[in-house]
Amino acid sequence: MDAPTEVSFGQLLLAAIGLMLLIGGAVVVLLVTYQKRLLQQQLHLRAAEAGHQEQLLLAVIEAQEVERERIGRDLHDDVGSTVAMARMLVDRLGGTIGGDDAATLLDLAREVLGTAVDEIRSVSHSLYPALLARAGLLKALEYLAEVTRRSGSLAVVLDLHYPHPLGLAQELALYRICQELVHNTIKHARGASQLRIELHQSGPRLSLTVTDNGCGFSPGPAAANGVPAVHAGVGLRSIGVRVDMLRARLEQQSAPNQGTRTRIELDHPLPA
Amino acid sequence: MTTDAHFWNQLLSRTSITPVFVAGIIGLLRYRQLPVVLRCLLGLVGFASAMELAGMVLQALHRPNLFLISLDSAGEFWLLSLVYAWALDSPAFWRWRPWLAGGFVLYVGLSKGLVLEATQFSPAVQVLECLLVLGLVMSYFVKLLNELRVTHLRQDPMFWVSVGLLAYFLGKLQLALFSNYMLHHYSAELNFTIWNFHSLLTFLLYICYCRALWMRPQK
Repeated sequence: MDAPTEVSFGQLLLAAIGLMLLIGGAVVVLLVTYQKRLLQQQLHLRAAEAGHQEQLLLAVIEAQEVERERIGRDLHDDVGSTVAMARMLVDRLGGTIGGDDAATLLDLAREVLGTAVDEIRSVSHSLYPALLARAGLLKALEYLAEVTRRSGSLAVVLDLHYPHPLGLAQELALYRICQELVHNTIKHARGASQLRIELHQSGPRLSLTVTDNGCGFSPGPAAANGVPAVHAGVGLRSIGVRVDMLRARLEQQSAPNQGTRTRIELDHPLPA
Repeated sequence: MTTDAHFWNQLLSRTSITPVFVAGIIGLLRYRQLPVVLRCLLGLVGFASAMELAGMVLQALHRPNLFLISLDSAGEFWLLSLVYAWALDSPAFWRWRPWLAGGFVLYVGLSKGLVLEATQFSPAVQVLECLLVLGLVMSYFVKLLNELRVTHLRQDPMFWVSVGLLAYFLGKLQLALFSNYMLHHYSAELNFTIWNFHSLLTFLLYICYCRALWMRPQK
């Protein structure tokens, strides 16, 4: 016997309501599950970010300590010994009255004190490049190249095209990166005879490239942004911190006996 | 069978108002601790209680009370849009809410005044309300996923409010779609069964409201 139309309709309606409720339940279950998964992903991401920040902080602290040690050593070995020698000469000058010896000693003391002044300038410049604040990145890089030329056997070539200056903090970070790269070349690039520093504005991007023809090395793994991994040296990690600060990208190419080329590229749109 | 359905209908119609009043009492007891969004929800519970009472009084006086359904829909949507304006905390929604809720109330007023008699109700109003409220609920769920501010959904009062509304309005959507058919092909058994189901959905909704109003505010 066929069921009356109304009974069929009632069953159909209740089934439709039940189906809708099932869909609603599925939506809620999906929401809860998906939200949990998203939260877990976010927690992992935050933990990774916190770890990275901690590593950066450690790198900064370590770099500060190394820098202090270097300044202390410079003051002790260079400035300290030069001033001590000057004092010795002045003491000897005190015991000599008149004659050629006195004039020679005075000249010598002047020369030693001049050297001390130069050394203090050099330390002071490495602490804070006043020239950068006064005359900008171009002049500071020119001075850095000049000092590097004078202090070693490297032929330094500068290629600068920098029409729109960055802010002082960014210029300082870029200068420090360049300083560290030059320092690395002097310290590690055995057999290097040439060092090329390029600063180029090309479209909306500014790039700093430091290239040497030294012994090179086998590059290790790099972290995000091309920033050197955690196990890299203090110098490279301090470069990494500054690259992060500039929101720039770092690219390093090197191979044994092929020299090293380091390029930092950052967004620097030209003013309209 | 008819007697059974009638019995359950009587039982559910008399008891379904209980969670409405319980939600109201809980809300009043915890009023000081409630955030603004739940105070608005308490306003909605108060409005629903008033509508239930008015319906009961009109029923006792043997007067038609179907017109209250449209009035209830208009007030319910206005207050729910306010609740979700606080919950979504979106400047765009705050800007559009008066137009959305006002437009709906205006539509209810026009469809009630121009088209229908006091003994009928408009399924279009019900269907539109269901769709709008489901839209609000889904917006809240999307916001939960986008912002991920709530770590445990079960501790979020608005999650429970939204779950209750989702279940209630999904069920009510079906009832609203076929309400005129049911009225025209009137049968006591079908009518009782459907209204029993509606009472169960109302029960479920107000249990969710009670849960939301009872929860301690999360920092």
